Amino acid sequence: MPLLTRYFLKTAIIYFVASFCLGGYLLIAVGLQWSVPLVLQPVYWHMLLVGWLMQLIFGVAYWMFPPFAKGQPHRYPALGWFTYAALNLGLLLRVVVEPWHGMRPHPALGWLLVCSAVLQAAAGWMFLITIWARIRGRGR
Amino acid sequence: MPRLSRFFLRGGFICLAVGMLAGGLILVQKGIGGFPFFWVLLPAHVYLVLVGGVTQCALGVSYWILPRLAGKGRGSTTLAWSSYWALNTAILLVALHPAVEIALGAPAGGATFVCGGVLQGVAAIVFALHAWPRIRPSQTRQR
Repeated sequence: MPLLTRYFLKTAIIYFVASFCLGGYLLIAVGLQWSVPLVLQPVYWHMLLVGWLMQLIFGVAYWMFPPFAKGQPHRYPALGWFTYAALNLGLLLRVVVEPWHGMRPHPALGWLLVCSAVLQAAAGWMFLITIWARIRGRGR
Repeated sequence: MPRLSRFFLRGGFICLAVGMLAGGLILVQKGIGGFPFFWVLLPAHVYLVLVGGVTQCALGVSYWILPRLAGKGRGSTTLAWSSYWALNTAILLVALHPAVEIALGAPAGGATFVCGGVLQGVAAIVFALHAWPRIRPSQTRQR
């Protein structure tokens, strides 16, 4: 299993545990009618979907898809690492800043959310560019 | 990788990238405000990432790696291709919903959701019919 895939999968598992714990807390809070900040809901969904599921898909795709060429598994190896860094930095920024900005809005925090948006969207497009040439049939 | 899997996966990754872009625009609005109309992208964002991205990737990989049927290869490819076209038409309708709603009003926007919903259901049923007989022990490694 390539190093980049191991990074993706281990980070995905960390998000899996963290998001399920947060989701469990939210469920318990609903059951016991505790007051929970609504801003935690989007954080939970994005940790689950981006941090866990999407990261799992990216990691497994880097590993299992046909190699780009003989002796060259990836077309742009550095772009894979940029994808990993952008996705995780963007998501972490969101997880920390979104509830904070929701409870105590501040322009500087707002701009950090913009950075998070740019990083996560860039990660999606960098992944598309990296993986595109590896979605192919046998013998090409 | 079979042709239909390539279609599913390429479509899936395009949906993920476009869905993340829509999500990024919504997050920009959350952060600095000034673009309240970005909220109209929310249904498209959720749909593109969950149905268009994650589900299409799962369907593409399933079509590729599920055990083949004895003498019939991957089974009914017509069913699988029908699922692909139904699902992608549904995705296109939901992705176009903001534009339809702005241009033609809420009833027309609602109609795109209705058509998208029906096609999405058809896509799931048709893919399940295709995949069901392939979910079985692999013949090469039976003990």
